[in-house]
Amino acid sequence: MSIEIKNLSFIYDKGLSFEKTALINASAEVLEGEIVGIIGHTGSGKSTLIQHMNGLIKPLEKDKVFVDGEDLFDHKKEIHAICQKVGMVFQYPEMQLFEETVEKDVGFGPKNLGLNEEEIQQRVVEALDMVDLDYEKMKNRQPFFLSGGEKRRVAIAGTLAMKPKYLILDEPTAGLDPFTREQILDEVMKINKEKGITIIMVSHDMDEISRLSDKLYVMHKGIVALSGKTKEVFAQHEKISELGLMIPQVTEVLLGLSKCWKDIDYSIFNLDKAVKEIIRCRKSHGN
Amino acid sequence: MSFIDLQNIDFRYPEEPDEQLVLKGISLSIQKGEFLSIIGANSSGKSTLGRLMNALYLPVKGTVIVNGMNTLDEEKVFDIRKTVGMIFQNPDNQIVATTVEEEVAFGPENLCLPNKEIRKRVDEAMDLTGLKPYAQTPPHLLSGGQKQLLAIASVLSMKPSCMIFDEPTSLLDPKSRKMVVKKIVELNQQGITIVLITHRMEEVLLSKRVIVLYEGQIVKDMTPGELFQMTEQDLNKIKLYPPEIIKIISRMKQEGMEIPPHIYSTSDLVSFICPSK
Repeated sequence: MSIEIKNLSFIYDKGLSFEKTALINASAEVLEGEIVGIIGHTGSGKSTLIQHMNGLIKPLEKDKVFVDGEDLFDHKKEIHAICQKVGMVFQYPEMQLFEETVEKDVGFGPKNLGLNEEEIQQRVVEALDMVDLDYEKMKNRQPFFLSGGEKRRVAIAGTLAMKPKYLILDEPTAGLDPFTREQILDEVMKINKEKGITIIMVSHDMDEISRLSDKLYVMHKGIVALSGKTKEVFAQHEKISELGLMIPQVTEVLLGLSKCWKDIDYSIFNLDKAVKEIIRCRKSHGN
Repeated sequence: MSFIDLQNIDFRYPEEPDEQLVLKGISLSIQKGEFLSIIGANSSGKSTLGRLMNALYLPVKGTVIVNGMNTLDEEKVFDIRKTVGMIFQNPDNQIVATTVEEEVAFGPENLCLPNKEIRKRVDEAMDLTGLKPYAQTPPHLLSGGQKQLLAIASVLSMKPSCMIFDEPTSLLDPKSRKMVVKKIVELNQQGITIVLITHRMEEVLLSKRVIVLYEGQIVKDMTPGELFQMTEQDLNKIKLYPPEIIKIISRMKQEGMEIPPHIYSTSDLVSFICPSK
């Protein structure tokens, strides 16, 4: 089971004088259970790529997007059923909060599915729990008076209440303070590991993406410039610098030290392990 | 006398009279030409503190004096706001005009300055921010970083002696962030007093002095160097989260490695352990 995109190209406003190419021959595969990271500069095609994954953008001409083997735009099928498998949390999702209470906001999606009251409530409880919010404490609060971190969580819960199999997060930690950022990242990990929801995450923060993702796609001017296991991608640091992107700070340190210590393992992202590796090298090289 | 002087400030939001104080017993002096950072977690009161400095908020107790003017003195409010310009997190919230040039002219026009003077100020502000080539561009076609530079330009055309930046980079991608940060440093070099409100510890390194807010109180007033010497655990206690590199250095120290105090970047650390021949 997977989301599959093969040789996808996309042009905004095709045929008009200001048409803009956003994707060129991009391929991506998201396997069930993975955390997939997508990085790249603003305007590199990240958003266009992810919006194809749940049918928000219809591919041009013959290009196809498959979710669990089903063509998203096969006219014989009901697109909603397939798209519902893929939940999307946009950048600054709290801007979409609109209801009077947290309960109503998170329950908005399930209500539109025509579920009964009891089932809606159960979904709201579960969704809030996944983002570490207590239903009883939160249900009657007004979304506009929550803190930034709480708003972000409520917005994410709104998508989780639709019980997606795949969850797309477009820069889920942008604009948050580091404390809240860490909490949200922990929650994303938990949603993946405990609830088994596949995660596709766009980020500008190389440190967080290196820690979380199993697989990485690096977008550059509409092309998938690099892809593979996260550690393999960051090992190609020269290519990444060429694209004007950063590498995780821990990788920067380990790579820098590899000038002195040829045998240092620079594919480590965990800080404790990285420090152990530095100490090991220091001992074995005696400096 | 200090340029901005806060004496024993208490503050709570006027619309929430029964709530707890947002700021408690804040005293702070900022000298002319200083570059001060204010750091703290969300809802530690740092934006509120910034807004007290140009009379957007008024203290419930204590006084704020800006260049000799009390913010409680209603007649002085406009002069205070002309003296202390404010840049917010989201430039979209403060951009009103249809072209870059008009946006920059908005402030001076409202000061009823002669045309010649407006032209001069607009040109200067656009030169300083590198927006000259975009003079006729509608703001919505600018990148996030350019929009933030535009917000800066439109404050600059008011000729403020102090600028307060409230998390100016938190919505920007890394490239735009660098661009804006560089500009802030330049403005300080030109003599403008800078207050930078941020939650990114690495940005604090730009300034000479940093204030840490925690639950509405100033808990530290030190140099950035001193802040970076604190252990990760102590920083976490005041809800500060250091950049990865500081976490790495802190762990190395715990493992018994000796690392001199002036090292806070990846390249510093690498050249300390592995000096190039």
